[in-house]
Amino acid sequence: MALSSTLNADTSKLQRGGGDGGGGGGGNFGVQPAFAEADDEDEEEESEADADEGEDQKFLCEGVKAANLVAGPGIPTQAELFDGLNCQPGAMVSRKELSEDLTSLLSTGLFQNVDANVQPTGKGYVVEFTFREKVWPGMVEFKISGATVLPEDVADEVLAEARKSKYTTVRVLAQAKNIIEGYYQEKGLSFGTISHFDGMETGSVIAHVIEGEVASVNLVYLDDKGGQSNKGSTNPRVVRRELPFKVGELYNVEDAKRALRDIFVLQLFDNVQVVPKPNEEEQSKVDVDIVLKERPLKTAEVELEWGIAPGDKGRPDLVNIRPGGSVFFENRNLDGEGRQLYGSVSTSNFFSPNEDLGFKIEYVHPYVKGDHDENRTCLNVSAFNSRKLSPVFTGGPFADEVPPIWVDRAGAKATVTENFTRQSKLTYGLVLEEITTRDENGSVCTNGMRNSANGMPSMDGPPTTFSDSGTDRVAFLQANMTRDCTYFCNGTPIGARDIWQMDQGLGIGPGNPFYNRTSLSSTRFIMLKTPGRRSEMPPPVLVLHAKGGMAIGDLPSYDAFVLGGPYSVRGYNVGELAACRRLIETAIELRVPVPKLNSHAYSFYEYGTDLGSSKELAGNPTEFYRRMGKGASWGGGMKLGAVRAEYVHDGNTSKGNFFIRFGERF
Amino acid sequence: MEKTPADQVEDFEDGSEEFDEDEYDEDEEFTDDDGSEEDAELVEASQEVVAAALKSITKQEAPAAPQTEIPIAALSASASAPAAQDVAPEAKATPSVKPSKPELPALPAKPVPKPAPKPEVTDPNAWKGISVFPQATIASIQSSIGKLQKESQGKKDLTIMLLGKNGVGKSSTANSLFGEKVFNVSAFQSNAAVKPAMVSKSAAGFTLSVIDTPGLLDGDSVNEASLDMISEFLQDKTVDVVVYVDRLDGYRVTKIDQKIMEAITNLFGPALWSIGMFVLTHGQVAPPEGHTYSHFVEQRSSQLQAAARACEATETVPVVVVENGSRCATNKAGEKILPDETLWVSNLVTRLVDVAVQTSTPALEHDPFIQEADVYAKKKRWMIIPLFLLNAFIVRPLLTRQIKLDPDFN
Repeated sequence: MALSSTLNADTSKLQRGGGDGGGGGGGNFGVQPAFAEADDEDEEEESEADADEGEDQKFLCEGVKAANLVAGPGIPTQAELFDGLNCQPGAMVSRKELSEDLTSLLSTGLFQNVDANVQPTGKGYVVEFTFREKVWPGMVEFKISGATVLPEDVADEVLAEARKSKYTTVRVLAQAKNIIEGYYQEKGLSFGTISHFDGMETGSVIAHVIEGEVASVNLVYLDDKGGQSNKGSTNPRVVRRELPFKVGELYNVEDAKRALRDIFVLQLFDNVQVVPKPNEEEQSKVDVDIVLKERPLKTAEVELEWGIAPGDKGRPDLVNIRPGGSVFFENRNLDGEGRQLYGSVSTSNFFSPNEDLGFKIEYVHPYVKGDHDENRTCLNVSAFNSRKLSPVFTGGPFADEVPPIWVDRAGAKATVTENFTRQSKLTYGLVLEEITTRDENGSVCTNGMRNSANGMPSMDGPPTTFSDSGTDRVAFLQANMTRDCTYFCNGTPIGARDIWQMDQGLGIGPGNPFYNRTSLSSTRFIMLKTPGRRSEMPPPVLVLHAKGGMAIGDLPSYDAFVLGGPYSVRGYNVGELAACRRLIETAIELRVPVPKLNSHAYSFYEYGTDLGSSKELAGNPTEFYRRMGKGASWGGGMKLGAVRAEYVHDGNTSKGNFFIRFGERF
Repeated sequence: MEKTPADQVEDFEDGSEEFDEDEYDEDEEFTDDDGSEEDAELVEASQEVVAAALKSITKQEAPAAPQTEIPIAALSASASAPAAQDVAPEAKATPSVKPSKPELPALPAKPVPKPAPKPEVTDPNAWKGISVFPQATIASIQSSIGKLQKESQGKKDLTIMLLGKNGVGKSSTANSLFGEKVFNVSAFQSNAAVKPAMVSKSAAGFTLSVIDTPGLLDGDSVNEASLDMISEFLQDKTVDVVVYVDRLDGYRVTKIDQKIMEAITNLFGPALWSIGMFVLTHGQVAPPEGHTYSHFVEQRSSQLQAAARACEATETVPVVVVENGSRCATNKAGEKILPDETLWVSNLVTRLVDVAVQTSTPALEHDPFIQEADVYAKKKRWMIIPLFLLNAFIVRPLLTRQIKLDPDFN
């Protein structure tokens, strides 16, 4: 949350920066020296007239009016024109200031002539500006000069529009400007503007455009006091390799956004701004400044937890004398090269930490194949442990409560990630793990349990590990590829996403566990109707989802596929349907927009089956805990922001339930 | 599936009820059927042992030597107190029996010569127990065997497999069939049959084999381990009749019953039911209020038959009610009868033979293709490397290529 809000803030900065630096794309006529054909004569007249009056004489301006002002696309409105003037209602204005106003109005180049009419009313005066539009002969030819990326037919389009008017007026030119600059805006080329027109008198008009070629990219490091320097602790190549800008290419807003995002993701900087500004020597070129504020890169934290509670004499007392807590350190920028080292250790008892020690140490080496690697291949080496509740030891709808089994994993892995696109990537690597299964009291167990009729748990269930000791050691290769080409359309994803996953046991370790476990899941978000341009409503979407998995070889319970759960078959608990070797899950969901809320209502049907493969799992945990092995559910719901409120009908027990869930199902 | 939690509770209660009964039965059976030394050691049972012994003593007057010549050899060889007790239950049935050779033309023929040459040594395969049946029962058994031999080209053996939940009386039924204690009986898995076992007994050139199996119930699910063992045990055997044993007083076919039936159907194939038979034990139960005994039996039978049909049984599976307990009532001829006067031992044998004879399908042979679940995918192991190669060299490059072709929206 914090990251995204900061990012947004920076995006707004970027936009502002772009506007200021480049002189703006839109109707920023005040600064832009457009329409260089300004007529100077009238202006002089006016200034002479001004000089006659005394400079000290000021009058109260009660109101400002405009007469004969033309309105139309690309032409500044009255408010825009009057915004920067000295004559504001309620201001004391001198003659000289009034003449300055006239000059600035004229200098827009839009008008043949501007007159000011000062009329007394009550205590003060009302200033009325009278405009006269420029008129040239009708346009017979239109050319664009300086353009490299504009398609040919843009000029024809302009000409076709211009021929509708008998004369070439400001309105016609504004229209041409709109067409051409609109094209640039659409492409994200915010520096693509018309510098000026000429040839209006002859009828063959030439529009001179500048496109904003990137002249240089500079890194500017800000220190804590706001001072700027060219050097920071981060090696510039760490930032430069993330930048999409190339000298000689056109500056594009999309590139700026991407640069912002990619630099931010490095987590090396508190603040990042992309500031494009016109090159001082060549106005048509752009210098891009990347303004960076580095954040502290080394962090270490120690947290101690001493529980305090009222003791038996009423005085505060330590709950226990065992100090617990966590130690955490990170260095996000080893040697200024953007490599990261991160570690954390936590326990509830530092005197005997082996009881519940949690740790993770991770080293990340980005661009392991060099700075010019398109896929940004990243190496990640880590040592970790984790403790999770096994969903394999879950009861079916009629089973009594199943005593939980915890799966502890401790190990190390080295993985390489290739980032094909922002969302699509391949990760592969080697994992060495020790897996220990424990019962709810934390002691190592070898079999699942069940509460027998007399209430005593009996440990005669399916084996929890491959070996019969409750502890396995395995080495396996892991590969995981995500192909994600979804995009957001009014807040809802559209497109395709496929996830492929494989674990290949190497047969190393006690008992030589050798196996292959593969799964593939595909989701398609099909837009049923393209929303209107102005519409903010999400389009109706049909979601199709299927997942298949198979595992061959030595498959201990903790690696079994589980069926059921909010990301498998909704309406069931995780693992409530089956623990199996092969599975197929399918889902179909229809999302329709809800007016006013700009949200989706949806209905779905989901089905999952173990394909009868549960019995191929040692001890048949599916059967043992009285699970069905397959099941369907259907229901409907409503999306409210990140929250889904849904009703799900469980096909196995024919019962319905309401759920509130966060995030997306697919 | 359609059960409400309330039903569940009910189920559970049923379970506990049964459990209690089992416990009770255990005691009963210890004293009545199992006269072995280890049982005698049971303090709890000792009282009843004494009672039973007393009973046998009081009956001694008549049956001092009720066994006539035939089984004496064996019995007298071990004429200890427990042995006497062993026979005690039968003893009350036997006083009136006066077995005579002419009435037993074929059957005793074999047993007789056997003890004759070697009176001291017992042939472990001799069907001694048959002689403890009352005369009328023996006659009936004989005629059934005759029918079997006549109708199936001189078949000289009959193999019966008993399947069922734990503690329903599989072993007891086997013991009843043989007329002697061949299987240990226990209501609990731990000390009863933990492995399938086959006992064959021959008499008069005919061999009766009974395969007793461990209970198929494991807690409240199907005992896959038992199924695996049974499947393995049957590899070199042919079964003529599969008997699914349940209790008459089970009142309903629960979900787990259905599951067990499904599991055995999966294991042996639906053809199982064409040589299948239901045996309902504890036949001497009082019907629930408002029901007549025959109605009760009828109801229970149709429940089980419906369950069998759900498991793809094409023909109606016969149902036989038995009472293995020693307190089974007898008629004047000493034959064990049920409350509806059925002579159940004869009936059981007759129906067994009927099933063995009438079925057109071949007897159940172990089908090597219906194997136990391949838990560690031993047979599919060869697929591991091809699957890995497929993933690494086909799926991965294909997906990568697709990703490169995809539009990049970022």
